[in-house]
Amino acid sequence: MSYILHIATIVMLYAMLAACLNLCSGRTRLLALSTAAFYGIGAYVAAIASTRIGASFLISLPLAVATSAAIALLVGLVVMRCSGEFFLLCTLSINAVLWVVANSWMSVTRGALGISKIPGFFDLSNVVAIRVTSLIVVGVGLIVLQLVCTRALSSPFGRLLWGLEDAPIFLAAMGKDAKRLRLTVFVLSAALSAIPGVFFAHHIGFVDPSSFTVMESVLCLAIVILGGLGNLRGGLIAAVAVVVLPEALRFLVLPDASAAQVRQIIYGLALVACMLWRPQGLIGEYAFGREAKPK
Amino acid sequence: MTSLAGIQSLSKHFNGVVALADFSCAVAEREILGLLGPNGAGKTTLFNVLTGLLAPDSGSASFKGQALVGRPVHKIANLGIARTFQNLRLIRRITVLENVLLCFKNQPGENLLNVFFRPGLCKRHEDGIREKALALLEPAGLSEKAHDLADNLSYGQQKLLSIVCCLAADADLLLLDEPIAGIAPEMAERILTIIADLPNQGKSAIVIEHDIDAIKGIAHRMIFMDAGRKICEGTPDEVLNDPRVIEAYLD
Repeated sequence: MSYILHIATIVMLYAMLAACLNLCSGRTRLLALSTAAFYGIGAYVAAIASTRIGASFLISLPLAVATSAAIALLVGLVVMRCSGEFFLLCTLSINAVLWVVANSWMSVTRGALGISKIPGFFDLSNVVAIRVTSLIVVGVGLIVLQLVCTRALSSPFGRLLWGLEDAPIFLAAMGKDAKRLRLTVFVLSAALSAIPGVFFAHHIGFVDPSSFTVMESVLCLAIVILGGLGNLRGGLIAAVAVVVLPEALRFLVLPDASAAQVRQIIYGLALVACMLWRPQGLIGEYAFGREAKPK
Repeated sequence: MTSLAGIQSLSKHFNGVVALADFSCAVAEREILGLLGPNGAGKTTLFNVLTGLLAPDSGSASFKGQALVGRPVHKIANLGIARTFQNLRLIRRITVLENVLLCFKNQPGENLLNVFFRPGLCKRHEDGIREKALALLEPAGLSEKAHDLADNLSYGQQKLLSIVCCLAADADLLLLDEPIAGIAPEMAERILTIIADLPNQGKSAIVIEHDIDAIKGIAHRMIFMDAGRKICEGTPDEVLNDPRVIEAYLD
């Protein structure tokens, strides 16, 4: 029971990350690999605030979002000048650099030792009660985040995102500032990515740099692509698939030693299969009807 | 007629190839200026310099008294200059209507703070521009296509759409790059009607076009250019009867 609740919570954390990344990368197709960096910032802010000054997650949330936004704004000044693969590499390096910072800044992050004894969301003793409250808090967060992303995407702001990579000259010729748009969407996406980070810290109770590697960003990007770029609902479903699939594979009768590798193989195969047969994403067709139409 | 835009001795070279050489001209308010010239004469380069996509080697350009050279593309557009491109640059993954909606200036909903904290304002503005957009699509004959993807339009319809986009941007000066080249006659007719009506709405246009009969009918004044230079300038009749122009087009 407790295990299932835990998995459900993790699914929702990834769904939140996917929603944030979808803002930046979905419609624009401006692929970012820095999700885990800002996720990590959120987690570390919550970890430090709760263990050092006893802040509750309600205080950590705005603090984490602000920190993440500030850092995103700073690096965004460089990032907003890049597009396409340069943007991808730029965001990848942000992730790599912040990971090194988390590993090396001993006095603040305790490096590879990580920060432990992070309290749960509420002061509870029953394990199932803790899991249930985590699930509810994260669930509420997910709903709010989805609403925020939906609203942003359905606005005139969201409409501009379609052209950011596809038709930047058209946007500029119509008086729209593409650089500013790129910066805004990058910062928004990064700031919101800190929210699941805060939840992660309080849910797991321990943070260390290994949770925020570049591979974690790749996984988030895989979820977004699998769900269909720009498709928020698709992202939800893909998050379920990507998190639950390897967990379900645990129950296959596999020798322990090879289980991890087999999981990776199935993962890889699933992704390749998607690229071959559903390049528009798992449910891209139904949600937008504009990505999937055969030419 | 008062001058809307002025171009003073613009020059531009590409690796030794002359695209613009000491080119000067002016556009008056409510004037349609036809720009003729063989391929490589520098017509599109002129548009690119005026809209800020290219920096000239020397010379200056102004619009409503504001210097254009050195200003970023989107700021020039916001002064009131809109353009179409030879290779049409629309957003193909969204609908025709959405392309038009996107082109309206000063939308409160482009600012996320308004999106989240002043939704009523955004909604009212959006409703307003939606109505205007549909009204603009009507004379272009694109009303039925409003909810189709821009990608599904024919080439001619895409050209119409890019002109509608310029109208949505409510620019005072439209730079139209071969608006009727390569499209069906009835579509061309429609586009010419829209262009000819621009002065009535207080707008001016510079039109690059190789179809001499078409441009003759709508231009108030013409400039013929070759190798980046202005060869001659005057009323359509004067320009088209100029021996240098006849020679260039008969060759």
